[in-house]
Amino acid sequence: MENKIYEFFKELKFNDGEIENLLEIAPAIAETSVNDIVENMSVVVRFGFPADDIGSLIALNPAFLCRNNEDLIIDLIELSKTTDDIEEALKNNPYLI
Amino acid sequence: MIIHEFFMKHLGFSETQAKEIYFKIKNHKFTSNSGILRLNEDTLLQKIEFYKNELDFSIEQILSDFRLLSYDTVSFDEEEYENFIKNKDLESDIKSPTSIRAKVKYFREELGFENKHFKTTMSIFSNDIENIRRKVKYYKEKIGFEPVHFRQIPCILNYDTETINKKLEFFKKELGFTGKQLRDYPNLFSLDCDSDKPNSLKNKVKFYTEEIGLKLSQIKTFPCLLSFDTTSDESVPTSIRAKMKFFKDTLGYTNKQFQITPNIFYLDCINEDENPSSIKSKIKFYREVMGFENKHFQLDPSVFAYDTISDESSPTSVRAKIKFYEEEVGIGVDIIRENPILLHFDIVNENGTSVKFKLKNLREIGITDEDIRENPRILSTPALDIKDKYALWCSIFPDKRFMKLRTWFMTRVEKIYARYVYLAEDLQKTDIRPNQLDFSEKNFVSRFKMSSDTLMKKYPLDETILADFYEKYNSLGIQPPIVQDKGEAFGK
Repeated sequence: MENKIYEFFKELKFNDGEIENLLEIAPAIAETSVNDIVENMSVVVRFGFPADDIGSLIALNPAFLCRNNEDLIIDLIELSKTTDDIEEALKNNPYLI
Repeated sequence: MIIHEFFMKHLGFSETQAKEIYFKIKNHKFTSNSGILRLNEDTLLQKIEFYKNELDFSIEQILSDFRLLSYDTVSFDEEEYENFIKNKDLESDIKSPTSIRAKVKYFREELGFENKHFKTTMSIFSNDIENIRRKVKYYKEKIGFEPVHFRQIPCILNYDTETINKKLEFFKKELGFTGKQLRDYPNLFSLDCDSDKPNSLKNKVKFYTEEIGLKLSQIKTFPCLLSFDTTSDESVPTSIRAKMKFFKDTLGYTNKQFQITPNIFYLDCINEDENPSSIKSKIKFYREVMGFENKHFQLDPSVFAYDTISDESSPTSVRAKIKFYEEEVGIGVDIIRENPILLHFDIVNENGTSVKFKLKNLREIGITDEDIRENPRILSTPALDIKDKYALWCSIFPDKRFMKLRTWFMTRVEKIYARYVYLAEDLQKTDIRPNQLDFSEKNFVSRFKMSSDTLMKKYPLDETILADFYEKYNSLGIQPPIVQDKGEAFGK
């Protein structure tokens, strides 16, 4: 795993064991670049999820970080058709993406 | 001279079968000029007996590759062989032994081959030993292959170094595979990489990235995906398309689930329930034991990776985890199926990845098991984060009514503080409710006409302020819960 990804998760206040956990839940994270991870996070933020709270979303559903960016956008577009508050929707159900 | 009666007399074939074999040998591109049919019966019988006795080949296997019958199965000069093997200089003039016996000896002694390895790739006998040595050296230098890798996939010894090099370049440059990954999955080299054939690696990568939407990083994490059949349609049960159809029809999966858990394609979708490791058996387990519906399988496809076979005595089994959560925290299967991430955690150790560690951490700061049952997602929250959040929330709401909020722990502590100070001091509100501090940004701005970003800059939460909240929190006397007898606690 890129050291940058490790440091990145540390900044989100994950400890070593928790980072290890994230990798077990979503092993592809280890092979995903920081750029790709940030890109997926940025998409979620653009649709209205607060950047400050993204760590808690990742803790519950790290797999979205490895998803195909275009498909993630499609899912968020579909979600935004059913709710005008993406933050509330995802905090209540992190698995919507 | 061999005629079709040989196969009837010595191998027990019918006349029709014997004639078929005879004409196949006669017309085969590799054997038509090899003189097999000009041998006398004893010589041909000796060859067949050699493969049967020395390599444990069946008659069907021997006749599946007629070239075997053209090789010299008798000669073997021990001294010539030893001289050749001792000489490590691949450019020397020392003659490479050509007999099958010498080749078998080489494969056995130098690469650890057993009979089963010869059976998988009989065509390796068409190489001479010198050629094999060159390739072994090449693979070793370029990728670090050891004899174990050649035993796993003997056919790679049939490729010339130019072909190997092309594949290596493709793996490294196009897919970014490391040497270690190539050593872990040597069978990747058996795949066709640069042609336009439907089953080529290039087209497989295209299939996964364009039809399923996988990233290259995911293919890199799960290289076995490249060995699956991506060209056959749904009618071929082992094809990827058949597996996709199975998941779509049975569980309502879309590409999203395949992107989240690409290794789901590794699972056996064919065998019936009787095979306990089959996916059908796992689906049955989750439906019957845990009441899973399709929506639960869609939440987290990685549930299929868990051990649903072993009983409770195996700590990594789902049964053991169900029992653990029930006994330790009072969390039943109804809660687990809505939060399948719980099945992911280790229940044995007490390190950072285990649920025991998480429980200890939460209990130490005063979060009760009842709180956890109400909101099991707390178990996933980063440990460093939850403590500050809990201390702040408890300081503001000592009666802990914020625990009714499903998402109190998902909001950044600096935001909670800034909003609290704004409501209490700027707006002079005396009846602040927990949900107001936990509003989504959209709702907060709509209600209070102020963004959290602005407030966080105006009212930053520093260590001193946080320490004050901790002091207040400590003074509340929120202690870890008294551990009751589990039977009393759960009304049993």
